[in-house]
Amino acid sequence: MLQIKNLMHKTIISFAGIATIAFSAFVVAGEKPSFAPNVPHPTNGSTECVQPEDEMKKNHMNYILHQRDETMHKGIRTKKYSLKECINCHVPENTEVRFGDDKHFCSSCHNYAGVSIDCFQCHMDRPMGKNPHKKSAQVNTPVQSKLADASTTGASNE
Amino acid sequence: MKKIHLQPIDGNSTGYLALIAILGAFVLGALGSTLYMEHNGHWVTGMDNQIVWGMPHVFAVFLIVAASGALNVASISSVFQKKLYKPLAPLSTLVALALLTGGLMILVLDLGRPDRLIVAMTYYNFKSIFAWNMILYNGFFVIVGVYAWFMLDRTMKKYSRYAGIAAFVWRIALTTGTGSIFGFLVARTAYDMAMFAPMFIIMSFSFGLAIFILVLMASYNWTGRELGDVVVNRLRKLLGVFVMAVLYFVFVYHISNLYATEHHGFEAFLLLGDNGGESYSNIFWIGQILIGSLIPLAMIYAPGVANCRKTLALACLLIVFGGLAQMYTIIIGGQAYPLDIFPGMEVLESTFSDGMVSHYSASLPEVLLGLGGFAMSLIVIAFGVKVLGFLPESLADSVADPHAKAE
Amino acid sequence: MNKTETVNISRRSFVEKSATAAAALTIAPGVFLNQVHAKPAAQAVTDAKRWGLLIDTAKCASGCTSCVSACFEENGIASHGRPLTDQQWIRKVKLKDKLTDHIVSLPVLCQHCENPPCVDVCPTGASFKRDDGIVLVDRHICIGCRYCMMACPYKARSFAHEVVDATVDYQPRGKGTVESCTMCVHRVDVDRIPACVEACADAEHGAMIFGDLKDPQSEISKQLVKHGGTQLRADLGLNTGVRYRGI
Repeated sequence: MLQIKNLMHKTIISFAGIATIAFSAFVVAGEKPSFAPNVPHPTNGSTECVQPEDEMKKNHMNYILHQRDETMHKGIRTKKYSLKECINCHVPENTEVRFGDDKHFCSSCHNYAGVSIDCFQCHMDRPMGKNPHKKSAQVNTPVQSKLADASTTGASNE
Repeated sequence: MKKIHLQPIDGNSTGYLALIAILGAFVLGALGSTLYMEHNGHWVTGMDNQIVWGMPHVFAVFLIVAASGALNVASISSVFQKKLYKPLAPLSTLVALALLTGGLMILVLDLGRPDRLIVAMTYYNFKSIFAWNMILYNGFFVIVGVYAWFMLDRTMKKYSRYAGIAAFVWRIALTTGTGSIFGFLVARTAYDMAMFAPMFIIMSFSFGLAIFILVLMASYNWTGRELGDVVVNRLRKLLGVFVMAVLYFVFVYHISNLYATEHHGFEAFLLLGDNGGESYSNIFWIGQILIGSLIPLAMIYAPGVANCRKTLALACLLIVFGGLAQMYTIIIGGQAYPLDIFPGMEVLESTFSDGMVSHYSASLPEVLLGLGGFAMSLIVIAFGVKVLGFLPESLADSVADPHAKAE
Repeated sequence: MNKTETVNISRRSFVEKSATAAAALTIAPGVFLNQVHAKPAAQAVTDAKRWGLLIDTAKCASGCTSCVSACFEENGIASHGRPLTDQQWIRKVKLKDKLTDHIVSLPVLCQHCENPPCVDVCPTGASFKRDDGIVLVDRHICIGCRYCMMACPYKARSFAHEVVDATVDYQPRGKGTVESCTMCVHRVDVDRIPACVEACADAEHGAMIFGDLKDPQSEISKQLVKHGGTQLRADLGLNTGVRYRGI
């Protein structure tokens, strides 16, 4: 039976006790005690993002924010920093995992860091893939020829 | 004139704690409603794509309008230098700030994205009167806060007149802005009138003073402090003038609308109850005009009841009720009447309620949110008078105005 | 590799090349005469173009709702069975002239005004007009105050009253923000036409024409010059991008 004389001893012993319990809990649960999130890698084989990993870790939000204003207000639809393309690469198609789950690419880190984002209240959190209800999705239909089909009278058709 | 002692109340009695508890319950009700509305989406309320602003906005706009009117008493003392009102000025600033807090709380909690409040504070479209209103509301807190400070702090008292003038100008701008939210809507028959700005100013005088009188009488009654007849009668007569002024503006609004043939549809809807407008017509004539204006006027001026405090209190309550009814007819009645997208044409079919009168029934979450905002204002007042010296120790006739003859 | 294969390969490539040339010759006149260039993705839109719609009410069939269904499908809008709170970016309306008893049917949607009241009243600037005339809601900064819904003379805006589970990635929409017809801006930017116009053409009515109002050679401009066109609530002076013929 130890003679605990002052507050400092009490604090150290309590802290050690809690740390031991926590560590044991982790070991029992089967997870390794790590101090970093478990971020899944893209499943399409890519090993490089559009910017180096460190840069993306620090500044991905700025790229996304800038791109959103460019696309929204100016109609600039480049793919490099597009949120849609991030999802297409980082989230497997036809996945059942949704944002909020630790296994989702974005939430794996955002849950860990405790930073809430509202992107996926509107944006899709997984790739859309080949949309079955869209007919002729990739065909570029020039305006003129569609009009030629539509108007049966009076439309000019060269 | 004897020196006025401003004294915080004790605030330890069971009655006080019970008051805070009841008001707190209402505030919790409002927060619960917000959670429910925000989590499920606004489809759980009575508001829809036709009536986009409902009961919460009726309460919120009423409180915001009353807030600037409650500052009137302080303005009369500082700007217009009427000595009788000077002891009432600190309480007036407290009531003004409290009512604005409650009104803004309702407005923000009803937003589709209340989590984006910081966006609303940082992205401004300066052509929008709504954006200007946000600046005016925040500025009101600062300016009236400074004004209250100057009045309560002995060292700054000499500057209180300047703060009072600034506050007066600011609150006129604020109420003009609030009225213009509706007045600038060109598309809607019920709005689109420059008159909305001055009408809201005069409404603020009436509603704000009614609430101020209620707060004044209640706080003096419940703390056992003396409130003389001189002060009460002066406020009573002022209130009567304001109620009559509101009636005048309502009259001019409707007369102007009736002169324009294109507005006859809406006027028949609101005044006669045509085309499904029975409920709005009843709320207008019975709620706003009879109960909200004519009966209080009788109570204020009838010779037998001149000195009866209870009658005055009831008159103030009826004016508050009439004010809410007026907001209801303006905000909801104005939206219920359909937009005239196709002049000269009748809509036979539409999946989006074109050309049809929309029906609105307030849902419980909306009413709870509105009442909770009101309760929040009252809690701020109750708390304020306990913490700081907003209430003079005595407003007996001898203290307030020793030269007044007994009436 | 034998000689037959070589001949087959070269014959196949010859056929391919001729087919491509033939296709190019068919499409090319339209492309060159109309001066329609696919906008490069990195290029910002400018006010050199102003997109508009012309709706011929004579060709609009009374019971047909192809444009409405196409819009819903294109933008991933699901009906929740609550017509008062469900989104309606475009709707069909049937009108009768009080003076002449003449009946017309037409679709009503966001008019993409040049002086939009919704843009004027939005406190955060979320409701904005793009340089090429398309009026949009930037749902990143929309706070859901619904003031634009009060201001719109055409009741074009809808509020997202419930949670949206997105099914299309090119048109994000979410609970608590306001939305309206985007003139299929995601299609227009890659040189396609709005879904409603395409559906109307597919349904063999051809009542809707989409094009550049600033280009005098575009089909829509020519039709406007030839047959005229009116705005809804022209008295408001909003100069809408959507014009109607026959009302």
